[in-house]
Amino acid sequence: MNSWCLIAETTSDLLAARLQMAFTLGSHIILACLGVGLPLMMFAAEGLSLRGDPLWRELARRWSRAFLVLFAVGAVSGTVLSFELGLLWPAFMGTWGAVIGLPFTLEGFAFFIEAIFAGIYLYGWDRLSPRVHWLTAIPIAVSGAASAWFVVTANAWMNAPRGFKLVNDRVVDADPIAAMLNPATGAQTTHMILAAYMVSGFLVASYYSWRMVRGDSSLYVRRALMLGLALGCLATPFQIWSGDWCAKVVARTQPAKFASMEATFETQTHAPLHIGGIPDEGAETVHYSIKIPGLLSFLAHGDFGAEITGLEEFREEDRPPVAVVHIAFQVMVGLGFFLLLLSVWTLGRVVLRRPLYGSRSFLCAVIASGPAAVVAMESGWVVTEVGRQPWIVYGQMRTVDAVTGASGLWVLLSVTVTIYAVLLVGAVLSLQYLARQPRSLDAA
Amino acid sequence: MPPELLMLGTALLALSAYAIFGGADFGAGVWDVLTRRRRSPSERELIYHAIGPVWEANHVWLIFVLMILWSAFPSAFAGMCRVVMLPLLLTLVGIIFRGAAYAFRSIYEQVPGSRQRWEVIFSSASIAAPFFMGAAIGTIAGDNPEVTADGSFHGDWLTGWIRPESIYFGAFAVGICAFMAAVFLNRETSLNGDVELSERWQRRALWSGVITGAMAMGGLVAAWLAMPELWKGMLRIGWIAVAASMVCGLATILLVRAGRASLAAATACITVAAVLAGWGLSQYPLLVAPNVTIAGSAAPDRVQWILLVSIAIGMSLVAPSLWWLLRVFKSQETGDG
Repeated sequence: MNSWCLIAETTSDLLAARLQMAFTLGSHIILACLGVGLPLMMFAAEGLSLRGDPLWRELARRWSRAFLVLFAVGAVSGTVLSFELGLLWPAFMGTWGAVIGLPFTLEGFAFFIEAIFAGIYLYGWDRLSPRVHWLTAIPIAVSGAASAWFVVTANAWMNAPRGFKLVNDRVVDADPIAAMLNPATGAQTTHMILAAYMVSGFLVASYYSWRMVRGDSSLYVRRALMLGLALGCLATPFQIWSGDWCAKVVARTQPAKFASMEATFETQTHAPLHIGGIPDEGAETVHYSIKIPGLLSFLAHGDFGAEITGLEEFREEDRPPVAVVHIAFQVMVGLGFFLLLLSVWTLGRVVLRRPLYGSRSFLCAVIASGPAAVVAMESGWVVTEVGRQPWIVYGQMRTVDAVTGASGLWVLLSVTVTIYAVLLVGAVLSLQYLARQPRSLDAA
Repeated sequence: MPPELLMLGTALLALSAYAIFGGADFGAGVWDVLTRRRRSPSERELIYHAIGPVWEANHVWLIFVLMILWSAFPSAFAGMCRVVMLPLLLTLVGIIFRGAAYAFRSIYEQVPGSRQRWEVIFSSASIAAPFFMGAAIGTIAGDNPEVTADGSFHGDWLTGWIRPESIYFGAFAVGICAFMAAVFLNRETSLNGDVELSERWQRRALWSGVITGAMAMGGLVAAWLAMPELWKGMLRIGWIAVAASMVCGLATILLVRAGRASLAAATACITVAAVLAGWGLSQYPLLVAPNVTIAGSAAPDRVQWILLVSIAIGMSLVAPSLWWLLRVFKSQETGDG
């Protein structure tokens, strides 16, 4: 009886800690994406203004005010994460700190550069010459992408841990550089940085096309829409390619995650690709999916006859929750292809010299693209994080063994949700207020 | 010199930079409260505009300290996180609201109602964050026998940190922040040639300096009464840095009085760094008294060297950038800020 209570309590605390991490990371990641993508768009707009068009400058300047809010909230929510790693998962940090501290330290430097140049850029509009001011956006954009790269290498390491030996639960021969350059790093970092560009581009496009549908088709709004779409649509085809790369890496390094993504229970050659469907973990089968024979083997290994490891090879306690992973994966891929179609549609309109704002159905699709990009990105994180369970470090440390022994995690979670709700309201209200400010230049 | 000592030295320097620059940003919020009742709008603007371009960069020093401790002293870091979990969480709440409220208020500059609401949140968070961080440091600096050598913790995380000396060091940290802010604002206003404002900040720097100095003496008494390991180390070697901090602190107060604002800002920085060095030296060779030692919790030498080299490379990029940021916004004739 007693031990049963103890188990129930531990798993419940584990759930609270995981929800806390998921909630705070899931919120931060949207802001972090904007921190990577928005500077690029401000850089483009301000660069165009250097040829003597003040409306571009106005666009960059107003975006920089929004960036000020988003960057501040992103900086504090990122700080929350760096504290939480130690506070919620002390055993994870205590055991592995020596192995994966390096990318976090380097990320600290990238964030340093980003914060310094953000300060110069945001407050330096009237202090620097236009050209120098424009150039200060470069280090912001570069270090934003660099910090994404460093942080994601640490996550990639959790998926494909390398660079250490474990003797009696203690790490020996830690090699931080090998850890950072683990087999999952290339694909995962590329996929994340492209996702950040897509999220930023499509969110911006989405907002301005909503403004257009509401009847504001001033040159300012049209230009903003164009820049947003340009970034999102350029990144999308590369993202589909990097997604394929990621899947191949997962198939090689984390077969259990791969089998869950694809809801493949039996080990088989000529494995079919399941599109959609609801996995039934009890009966080890998938209901209502469209099956394309052999395609999964081909996508994973470039050969229709290749063998795919099914979930049956893994003990029950080593399997991730299949339904969550499979459905999240389907959502991500589905939305990714929607965004690809939208990119093709945009390209078509550009090639045919149709104005981007001429068609209401096109604008409505663009309005959907922002939320679609965000949901796709969040689903991708669900796939990679839930798909790694029950491990926090794949094959090395279970999540349940890493969680803090402190009680009261549910209280902590509810306080956190409340605080983030206040932040969300504050950010939305101030962005709304900014958007309502009259523009000083308004060409029709 | 073993690399882990270089590493700890780096961590102490980074913590000093955070206490000096990040501390001054928190201090601006403290002064926002202290001067709320009688001041002109231009004075309020001075407080808020002073931190605008720099607070995010200054904040990164904290992240940097966390990352050094975690990478180079993983098990000690785990132990510290466990014992001061609650004050760190409360610090975090302060950090969140300070930063976000500052950004929100700068959007609402023209709307007094909304602006004031966020200003109240900003300034209370600016007091809370250093208070709880000081309390966390006060707890870690004391004796924590519940933390074992491998970083596990057998105590009560909810109430274990509530000790008179921790609370005292929390208040001391708030004092340091207010003092640094006053010294820096005295420098900025006198560089701008604003005689009236700079005299006012000169007075504030003086009396906050005297109070914080007295609190530092009280801190020694607290260590003598309640922190036996720290006190032993103080007598052995820490006294060198403590004496240096006393001399520099006294010099700062005299320089402020003499109107040498820039020089006073420099000696104030050294004073704060010396206080922290005094703590570090007194605790040597322990990280968490009495069980967690530096040598016992340090990551392998190879990791330490890789980290040190990457910190050197990173700093070679950050230092000139930081210098430029300060030159653009904190050198002479900063105008409207």
